Amino acid sequence: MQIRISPQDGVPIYLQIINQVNYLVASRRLLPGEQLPPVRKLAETLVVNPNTVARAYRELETAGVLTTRRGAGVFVSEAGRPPLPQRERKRILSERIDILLSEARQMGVELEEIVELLRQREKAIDKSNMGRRSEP
Amino acid sequence: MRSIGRALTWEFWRQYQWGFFPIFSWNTFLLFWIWLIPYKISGGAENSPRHIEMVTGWYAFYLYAALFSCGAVLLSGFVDKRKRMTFSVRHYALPVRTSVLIAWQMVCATIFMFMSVLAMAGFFRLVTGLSFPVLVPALFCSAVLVWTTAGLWFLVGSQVLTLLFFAVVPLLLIWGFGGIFFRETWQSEMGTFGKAPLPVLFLLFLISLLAAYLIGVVGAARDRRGDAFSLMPIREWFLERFGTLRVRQKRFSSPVAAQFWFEWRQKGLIMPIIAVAVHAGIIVFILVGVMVGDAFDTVLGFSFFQWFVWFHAGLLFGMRDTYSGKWEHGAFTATRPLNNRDLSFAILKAGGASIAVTFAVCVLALLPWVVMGSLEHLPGKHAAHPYLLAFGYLCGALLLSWTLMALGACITLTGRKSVLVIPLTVLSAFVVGMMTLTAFGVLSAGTRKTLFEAFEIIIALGCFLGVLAAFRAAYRKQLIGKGLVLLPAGLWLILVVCAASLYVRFHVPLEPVSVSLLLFLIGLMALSVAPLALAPLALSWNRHR
Amino acid sequence: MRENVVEVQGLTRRFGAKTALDNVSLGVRPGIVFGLVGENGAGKTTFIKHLLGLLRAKTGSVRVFGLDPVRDPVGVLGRIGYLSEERDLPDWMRIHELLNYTQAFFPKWDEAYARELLETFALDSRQKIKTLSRGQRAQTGLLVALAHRPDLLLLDEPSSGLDPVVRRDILGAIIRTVADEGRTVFFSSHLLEEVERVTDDVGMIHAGRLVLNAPLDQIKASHHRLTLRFRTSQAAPPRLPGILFCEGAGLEWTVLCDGALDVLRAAAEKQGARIVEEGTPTLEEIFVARVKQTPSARKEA
Repeated sequence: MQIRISPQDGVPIYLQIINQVNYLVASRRLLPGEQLPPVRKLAETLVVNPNTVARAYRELETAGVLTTRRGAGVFVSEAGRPPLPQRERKRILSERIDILLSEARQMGVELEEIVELLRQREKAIDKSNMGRRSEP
Repeated sequence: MRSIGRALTWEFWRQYQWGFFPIFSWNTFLLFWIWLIPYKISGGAENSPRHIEMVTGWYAFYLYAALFSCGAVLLSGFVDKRKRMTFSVRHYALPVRTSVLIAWQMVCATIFMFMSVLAMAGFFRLVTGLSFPVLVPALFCSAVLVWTTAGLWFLVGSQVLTLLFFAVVPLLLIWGFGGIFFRETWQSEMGTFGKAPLPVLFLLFLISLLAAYLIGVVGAARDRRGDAFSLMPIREWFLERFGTLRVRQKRFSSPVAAQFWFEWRQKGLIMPIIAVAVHAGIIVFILVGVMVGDAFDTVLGFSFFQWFVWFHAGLLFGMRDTYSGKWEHGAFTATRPLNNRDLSFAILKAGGASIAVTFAVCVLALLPWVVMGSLEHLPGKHAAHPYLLAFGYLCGALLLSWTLMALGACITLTGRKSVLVIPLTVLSAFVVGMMTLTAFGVLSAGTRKTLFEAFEIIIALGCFLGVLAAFRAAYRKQLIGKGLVLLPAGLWLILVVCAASLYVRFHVPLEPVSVSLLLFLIGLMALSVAPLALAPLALSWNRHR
Repeated sequence: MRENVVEVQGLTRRFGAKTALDNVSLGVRPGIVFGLVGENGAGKTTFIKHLLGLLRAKTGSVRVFGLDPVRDPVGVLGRIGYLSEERDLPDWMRIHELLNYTQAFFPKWDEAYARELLETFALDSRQKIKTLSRGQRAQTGLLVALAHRPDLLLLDEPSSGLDPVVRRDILGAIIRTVADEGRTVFFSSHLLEEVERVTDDVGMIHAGRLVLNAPLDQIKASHHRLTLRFRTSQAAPPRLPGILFCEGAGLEWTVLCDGALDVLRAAAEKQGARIVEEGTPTLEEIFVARVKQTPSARKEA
């Protein structure tokens, strides 16, 4: 599981973990039922405080993205998990969009170009997912 | 060129001004003993031949001690390669040639030594009124210091060799002084040394200075290149040939045992190694046929007068941060989970073990003579009981060595240089004051006698009360328990009884009982057991600032 | 809730004229990582020395595991693993001798763990400590501190002067220690990126005074970096409650504030400005801002 942490980001570390796990789940790089590394292991890998990782896992569990199985570990929730409340989803996405928009403004990219870019990226992800699904 | 010299000189003085002052005080204190003891022994008569003979002997000894003190200062800065009294890496990086660095160092050291010996010898001559040579000892001492520095430089890469070097030099010194002074018993080619005309001596001095300088420069240049002569290659060769080192070690039975091992390994073997080296050197000289008659005296002298060295050894044992030479407590030893009593006792035990081993070596060295029945040579009025006397001397020497070692350790354990400097300064001031007043005829012989007796009683009382106070303080601070208060008290009583009986048996028939001397001895006995309370107190004062 | 591992109240310490610590009070909860940050000479080492009993608390009280480190060195030091700033180790020992020697003092010494750490750090136990590089010295000191599984791991500037590989080892050790139930880590550092990664609670010391003592999450939540855009050009820096730092000129000013966002927004609007950019400052920015408060900001504080 590839997660990158950057303390300089300004975003709290636990939030970075949450966002990246969500992204991995959304892009099917983490499949439902797949096991995540235990808190201790992930903390050592990322070189962050275990309590931070524990908090991220907790919040992801509350959000329904992950489930803990007694004695076995932390797993990605099966498909059919209760969906995130709309407001929560919008909030997470709004944050990411804010960052994207401010960067685009700095670089001088117009809104229409960004919309076009969004469509292109969606097509690309679909293609790679289809390729994955067709694998045995 | 001049500015470099000035800068180096300034640095030399600024860095070591605190080293020279204690040396000066210490030497002055020795003069006091040189005055007091023969004075006492000769029964207070100033110009008896016996008095002169003893004072002469002590004068030689004093100069020897002065040299040792300088060597000690040199060595103490030397233990840590980064901070030595020679030069540090920082100096090497300066755009100065090695020959210039060494030249300035030797010049500074020589001038200091020369001036201080000149001053002390001159003062001594003035005060005692006897015509001691002044210039020759100064030259000699300076030469020896320069040679010592050169030797240090040459052997800078190997601590073992340096220690051995320092063991051999005293033997050479004994010869040298014997040659300079009047004792016909010191037989050697150097016997004519002191009687040579002054210009010849001066020339010899300059030549040896030059030779020492060259050796020093070679040694320093090698060190600057990082190529100092050391025993490492030999050690590596050994390891390669005879397999890897033993990695398995037996477990320690307790934290105190572990700390004892630590102190012992770090410092405990220095004195035994020196003793072995000295005795081995004597054996070599005997085999070569050089020193046969004097050998026994030298061995005896070394064995019984080493107590002087034990004070310095004690200072080293008490240092809690040997490698940086600082007196403050190093973080490593301070954070051992040991209470102050256990930690300080581990240090004392290591010192005691060192004394035991060294004396064992010396006794072994003396055995051949005992077997050959040479004990009649022992100075003393009771050759009828040579073995008893020898045993008495041995016990006395052991006790004195222990006391001095432990007190020295307590001084450095406090971690405060003032504890060493202030008492020495006070004593020196007292001594110098007394001598000056005597020299100018202000004090009559009778007043001086009374003053000295008063001094003895004051010291005795001071020691006794001080020791009591120390035990009380240590007990109240819960550093020691009841057992450790009663045990020393019992030991002290035993010692007093022994000393008193010896005194009565051997000394009283010859001279009237001197109450002050008796009290003095009793006070000193208390000092033997004092470290049991002083050491934990000193350590706790240092460890928790 | 268990009692604090470290409890310091009103600690003041002067060295001659210099005040090293000025009325410092802090508590360290069990099972967390506490980071004490401050610039060089701020008083971090002095504080740690008080915890070890190397300095006696002349004013105030110091309790570690509920004990006074001066009165009970064995009880306190026997449960602490300490790595000093100078990595003070006996140069003349070999590593295996050091391990054997240290083992005698700590009954909880774990032989297997020590060997595992030796392998992880790739140290040769036959080597003399004198010949070790700086990083290896730090690793050896860390090994000796960790192997007896101390209840409190006390590190004084653990990363100073070390290469990134060894720094990772040290941070890893910190993390592993805290991941084991009940064990606490206290370390001082001025490398704030590292502090940000691993600490739970942060204490900021400046000129002997504790200027901040709170959980890291709380600090990050309450500090904001705002860019304000004014309607009219401003000659003087804006006045906002809790402002720590500001820079800029004319219409646009960037400030670093401590406080609730809506309060700040309201105050900004009152002065005729709107917030165009809002972000969370890094710990380093917060630290620098707190230490170098601008004169006008200091007036507000």
